[in-house]
Amino acid sequence: MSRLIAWLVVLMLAAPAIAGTKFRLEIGPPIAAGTGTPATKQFKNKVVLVVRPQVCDNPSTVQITGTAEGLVNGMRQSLPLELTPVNPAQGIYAVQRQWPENGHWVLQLNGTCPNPKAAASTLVPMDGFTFIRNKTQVLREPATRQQLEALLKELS
Amino acid sequence: MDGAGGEISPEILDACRRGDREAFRALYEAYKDRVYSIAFYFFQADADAAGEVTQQVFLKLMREIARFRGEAAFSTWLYRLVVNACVDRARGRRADVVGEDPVTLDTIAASPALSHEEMFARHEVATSVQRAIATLPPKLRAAILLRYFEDLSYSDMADALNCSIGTVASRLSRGHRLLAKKLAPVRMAFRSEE
Amino acid sequence: MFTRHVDDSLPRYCDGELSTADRQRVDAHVAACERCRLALEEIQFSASVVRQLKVISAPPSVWNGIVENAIVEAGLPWPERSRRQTRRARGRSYPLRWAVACGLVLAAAAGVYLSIRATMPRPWEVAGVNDGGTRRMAAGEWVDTGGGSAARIIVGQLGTVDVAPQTRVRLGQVSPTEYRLKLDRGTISAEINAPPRLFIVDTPASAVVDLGCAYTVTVAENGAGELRMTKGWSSLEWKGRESLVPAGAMCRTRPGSGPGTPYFEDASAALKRAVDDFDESKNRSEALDVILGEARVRDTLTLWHLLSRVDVSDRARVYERIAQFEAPPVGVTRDRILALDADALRRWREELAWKW
Repeated sequence: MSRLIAWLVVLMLAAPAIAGTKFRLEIGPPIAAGTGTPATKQFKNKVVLVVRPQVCDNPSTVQITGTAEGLVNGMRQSLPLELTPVNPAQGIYAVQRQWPENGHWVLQLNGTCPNPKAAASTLVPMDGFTFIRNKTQVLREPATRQQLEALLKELS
Repeated sequence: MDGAGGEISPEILDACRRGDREAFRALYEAYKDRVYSIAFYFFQADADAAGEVTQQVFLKLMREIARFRGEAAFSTWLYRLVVNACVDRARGRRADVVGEDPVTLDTIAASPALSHEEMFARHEVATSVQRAIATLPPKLRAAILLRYFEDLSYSDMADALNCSIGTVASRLSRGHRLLAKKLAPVRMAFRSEE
Repeated sequence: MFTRHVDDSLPRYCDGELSTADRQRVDAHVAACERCRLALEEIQFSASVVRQLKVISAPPSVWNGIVENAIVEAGLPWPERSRRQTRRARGRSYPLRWAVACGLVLAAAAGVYLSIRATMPRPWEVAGVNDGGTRRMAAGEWVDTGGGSAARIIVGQLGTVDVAPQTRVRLGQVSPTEYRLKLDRGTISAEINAPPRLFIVDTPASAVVDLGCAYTVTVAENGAGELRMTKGWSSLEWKGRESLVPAGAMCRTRPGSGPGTPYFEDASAALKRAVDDFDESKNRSEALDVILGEARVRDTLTLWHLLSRVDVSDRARVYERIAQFEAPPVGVTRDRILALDADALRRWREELAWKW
C-alpha cells in the first residue's frame, strides 16, 4: 500500500513534466493556415510551410525559432530563418524560402512553451520547394545534433 | 480644394446589390480618392495606412451594401464607414507622438511674407499641416476632414459621425482651435502679410 | 451677468450655415467678446489651411488588395458574380465557345504561329523560346507550338506561363480583375504571383482558378486534363464541383465530369488507381474499399473530398476513416459532416490540412 502511495506521489509530481512532453511543433503546407490567407502577396509563391504549436496553454506565448541546415558541395551551412507571423494568437508562422536552391537542406524549428514549461523541435527535410512529409521528425524535446546530422546525411 | 462629387446613381447601387462586378468597380472609382485622402491625412500622409483603411472600407461596403436601403444618402453611409475605420485604427496605434517639428515651423515663421498660394506650395508647410492634423484627437480629426474634404452639410455630418449637429459644431470648433494653436508659426507668417 | 460664449456656433458662422437671426447674434457677441473674436480668427485660419489640402489619388494597389481579400473571404459575392451564376454561365456557354475556338484555330506548319491584328489592343506578350523574339498579342488569338518549339506567355506583371511543344493555348480576356487563358491541348506550366482568382486557365473539363502559385496543366486530345501543383494551392472548378489541390498533389479532369478527386503524388500506386477508378465510376464500391484501406494520414486530402462524392450510404465509412486519423474539431459533429454542412466541412478541412 505504501509503495502504491509512493508511486502515486511520484506520478503526481511528474504530471507537469509528462504533460509538458506533449508539446510539439506541427507543420503543414501553406493551405493549412487557411485558404483565406492573404498575409503577404508572396505568401503562396514563397512560403514552403507553416508551423504551429500544439499542447501549450497559450499558443500566443510560444517562442518559435528556426534555422536552415544545409549540406552544399560537402560543406555544412546554417542559416537563421525568419518566420512570418500568420496568426500570432494561435502561434501560427510561415516559413518562406530563404536558402539556396542547390544542396540538401533540413529546417530545424525549435519551440518553447512557458506553461506548461516545455521545449520541442521539428526537423523538416526539404526537396526543393516542398517538404518531405514522411521524413519529417516531430520531436517532443529539443533536437540533438546527431539527429540533425543523421537526417542531412540521409538526404545527401 | 477639389470638392465632393455628386451622389452615385441609384442604378449603380442596385446593380451593386445584385453583385454586379462592374457596378462595384464604378462605385469604387467614384469614391476611392476621397476615401483614400481622408485616411491619408488622418494618418499623417501614411500611404500604407490609407491603403489599408480604404480596402477595409470597400470590403465592408461589399459585405453590407445589401442592407443599404437608401433611407439616407449613400455617401453619408459610406463616410460613416470611413470615420469608424479611421477612428478604430487610431485606437489601435500607439499615440501619434509626432509633435511639431520646431525647425520646420521656425523656418516658415522667419520667411519673408508669402501669398497664401506661395505659402501652401511650400512642402514644409504641407508637412506641418499634415502633422498637426494627425495629432488632433481622432474624433476632432474626423470632423475636420469630413467637413473640408467632402463638403458635407452639418446634418449629413451628424449622420456620418452618429452624433447631433451640436456635437458636430462643437468638434469642429475645438478641432480648428487646436489646429490653429499647433500651426501658430504658419499663422504668424500669414499675419506679416497683412 | 453671465455671457454665453458662441464657440460652437462659430464653425457654422464661418461656413455661412446660420440663419440670419443667429448670424446677427454672433456678430454682436463677437464684437463685444475678445475671447470669441480670437476663437473666430483661429477657426477661420484653420479652415483656410485645411482647404488647401489636395485630394490624393488612391494607388492601383488598393484595388488589387480589395480583389485579393474579397475572394478569400467566405461569402463575399464580388468582384465576380456568385460562383453558382458564374459556373452556370460557363456551363451554358462552354460548348459554344468551344465551337468558336475550333473555328479560329490556325494550323501551324512549323514552329510557333503568331497572328497580329493591328487594330486590336494587345495585352498579351508572347516570347518564342526558339526564335527569341517577343510579340504582343490580342485576346482571342492562339499560341500554337509545333514540334520542337516552345513559347513563354508573359502575364502582365503577374508571372509567366511556359508553353510546351505540341500545345495550343488561346489568349483570353484581360481586365483589371481577370486574366484568362484557354488550354485546348498540350502542357503549360504557370508561375503566377498575383491576388487569388486573377488568373484563370480554362480547360475542356475544368477551370483552373489560380490562387497565386505554380503548377503544370496538361490537356490531352480527348479533353482530359491533369493539374500538378508545385507551390501554393489551386482550385479546380466546373459546374459546381470543386477540388482543392495543394502543392505536392495532383488532380485529373475529365470532360463531362469536371475535376476529379485530388491525391498526393506520393500516395500509394494502389490508392491512385482506385481514385481514378472511383472517378470514372468503375467498381466504385471496391475502389472505395481500396482507398480507405490504403490511405495514410496525408491522404485525408483525398478522403475529405470523397465525403461529398460518395453515395450517402458510404459517407459514414469515409467519415469514420478520417476521424481515425484526426478527430474533427470541437463543434464539428458527425451529423453535420454527414449532412455535408459547408461550415463543418471547411473547419475540418482546415484542421486536416495540417497533416497534408
